[in-house]
Amino acid sequence: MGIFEKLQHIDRRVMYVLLALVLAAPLIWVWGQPIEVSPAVRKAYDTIEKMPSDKVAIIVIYWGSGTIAENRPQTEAIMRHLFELNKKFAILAFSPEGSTFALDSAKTLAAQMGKKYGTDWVHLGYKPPANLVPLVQSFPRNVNRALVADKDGTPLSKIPMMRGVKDIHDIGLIADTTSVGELDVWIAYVYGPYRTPIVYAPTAVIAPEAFNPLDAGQIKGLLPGLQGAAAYERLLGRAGFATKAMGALSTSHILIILLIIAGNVGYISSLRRRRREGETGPGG
Amino acid sequence: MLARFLVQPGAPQWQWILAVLGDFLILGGALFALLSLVPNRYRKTLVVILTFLAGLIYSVEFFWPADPETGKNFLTDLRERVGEATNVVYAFALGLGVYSLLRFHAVNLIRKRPGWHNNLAFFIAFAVMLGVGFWDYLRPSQMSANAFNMLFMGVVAALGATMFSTIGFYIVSAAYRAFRIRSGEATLMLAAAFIVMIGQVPVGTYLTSGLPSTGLASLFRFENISYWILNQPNMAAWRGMSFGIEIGALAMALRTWLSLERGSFFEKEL
Amino acid sequence: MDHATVPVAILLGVLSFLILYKIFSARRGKELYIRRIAGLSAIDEAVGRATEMGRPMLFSPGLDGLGLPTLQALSILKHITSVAAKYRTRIIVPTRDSVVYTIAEEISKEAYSAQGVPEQYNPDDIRYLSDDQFAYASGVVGILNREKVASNFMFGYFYAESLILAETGHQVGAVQIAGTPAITQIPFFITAADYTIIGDEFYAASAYLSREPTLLGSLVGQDYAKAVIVFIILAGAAISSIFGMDHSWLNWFKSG
Repeated sequence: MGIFEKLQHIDRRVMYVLLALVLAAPLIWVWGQPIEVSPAVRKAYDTIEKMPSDKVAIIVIYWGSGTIAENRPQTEAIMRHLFELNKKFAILAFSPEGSTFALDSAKTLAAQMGKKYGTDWVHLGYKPPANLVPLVQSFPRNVNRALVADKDGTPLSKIPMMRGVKDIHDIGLIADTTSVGELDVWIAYVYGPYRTPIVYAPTAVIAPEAFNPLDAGQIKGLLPGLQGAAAYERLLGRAGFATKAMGALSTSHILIILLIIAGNVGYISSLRRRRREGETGPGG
Repeated sequence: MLARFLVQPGAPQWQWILAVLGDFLILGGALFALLSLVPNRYRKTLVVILTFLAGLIYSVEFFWPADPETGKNFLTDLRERVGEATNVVYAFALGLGVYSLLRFHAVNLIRKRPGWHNNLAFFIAFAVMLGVGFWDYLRPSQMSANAFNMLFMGVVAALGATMFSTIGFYIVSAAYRAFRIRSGEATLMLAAAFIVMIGQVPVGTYLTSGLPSTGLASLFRFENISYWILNQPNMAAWRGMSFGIEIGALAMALRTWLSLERGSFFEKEL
Repeated sequence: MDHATVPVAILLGVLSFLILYKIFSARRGKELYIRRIAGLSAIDEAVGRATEMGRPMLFSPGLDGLGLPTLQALSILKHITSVAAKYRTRIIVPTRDSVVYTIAEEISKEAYSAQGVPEQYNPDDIRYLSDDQFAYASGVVGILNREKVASNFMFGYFYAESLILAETGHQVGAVQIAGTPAITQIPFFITAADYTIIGDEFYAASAYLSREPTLLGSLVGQDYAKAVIVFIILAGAAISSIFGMDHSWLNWFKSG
């Protein structure tokens, strides 16, 4: 077997080691690169800019530790933007891990930006995923009755920023950060009947399914994965983890492309050899 | 149902839990007794009727016009109760699942089958997590909260993240193996994958940064081609597949509701 | 949407009528054609392979609870278990949902009993692993490696763990057949599995495997329903091209 043919049988352990190296290196020696802002991310940014200041945004957290690298920067970028615009938001979590991560992020950003819990932001606690559909069906009609209290059990009527929030007309935006892909629930029960703007921030794997609703106008913006978070950070003018990690994403994509090319070089070499042997017989 | 009459409003939580459990035992027992009186040849018919009625609630509730102010019709509250009852049934099934786990690992451990240390690890992890969870719930303190956080966030969440991150490595080996120029379609798929991958990252933007950002030539920038692929062909394929899948799901839902489904649950049509 | 609007009600009514009409007309005995689906045809070969190698099979019914994709997966499980029972081949079924676990247990027992070998049924082969997505995935990976599975079937609704399961199955040398209505996971199955059932082929599986007239009629009804959808798309494209996006017929279709 020639050297080129061996390229189609690279040991997967070698590939894994290479991947680990190309991922780690740009995270240690940060490789700054220009980030392109796609029209979908720009739409999300503009939607949040245009949200009325007297309404509350709901940031939905439906991700956990597995997708923290993608969803947390998205969540933090949206939170930061809302804080900068002095707009209020409530965190609604359907994942126990995500609930804790989102709380930590909000607390850190609030401390940095001088925002107060209960007045500028609130955490509505963790709701079991089995309750997603019943909750989304019921809260547009009566927010207090559906959501009841915050993470500490304080009734919503006692939280300053939630006192004026009666129903969906007091909600200015749903920002859905997710690794699960329950967008159709929000479109069916919130956008469909009430036309509340939805900004969708999924992981990159499930992002392609969002282009249909984006094109149909059912979602008003899309942050696809880490790349979407990095683009959003660029619009905010503040490089965060997503921007730094784009270097790692670049190198890993290049590695995958090079390996695929190598595999195909090996494949074509073996095809040629087999064709030659077919013409002349094995052994010349 | 009976719990409402047995327990006073404002009673402690444990009384409600006991009353509801008793409710289920009494009503469940009564239901089983009634079912056992039904002759065998009518049991399937009974199941068919119950399935139809259960589905009818959801169907009629969906199609019946709702009051524009409340957004409800006469079945909406009942539908919500039925949904809650379903959640309760699921909770009982969780107990069955836990029993299965305990039985499986206990048998392997007692018989010292190969790998029995893994079964022991299960019991230790189960006991520790259960113990710390109940400790933090019943006697919350800083120490219990720290212990729970250390186990949940430090072990469970970290292990979940570790498993998820193996996907990145597996994608490399799977893509290396799968993306071969075996045919025209495979080559087209390969080219699309290349362009989308490279267009998503800054390196792609850099490679075609020499092209203008507006005008006809800008269409050939990697990020624009990548966006076009996701926004046009991908969207069309997605819509086509979604229509097929959802119509398939509609057909299956109709067959299950009307008990026309064959396979797992009925051998013969009724 | 919470409740049907008039266009939704009409559309659902028409599609449901077409499907039910073809179901009932198929029961009158008309021979219906279904094209070959490679992945489903390969199921028997995969069972045969496991039998020859003397190694067990694994069937994963997905990660969802008892919904339509899981019901369909359980239908396929019944077929595979029947074939496995006939050849005395072991099949391991790890589940993520406890309700699905109880039903998978019943299905397996019935399949072995129907083949006249109830003693072959091993309750330890039907396992509830965990509710947690990646705990389930790591459990299945462990089973695939320890049991050296010869055939790996993945049918149902999967999420991110699909590639973990499929790639591990490939690494242990199992022949893999996968089918899921989760469009986002189909690319992973295509790269790592030997056969992939795409889109509505998944819901056609029970008709394909059983050749029951009811199910075949349902498939034909689905095709008629798709034709109605195509007609609406073409009509909408024509109307919007000629009269613009604000035509009353187009506005009528919008919900709310």
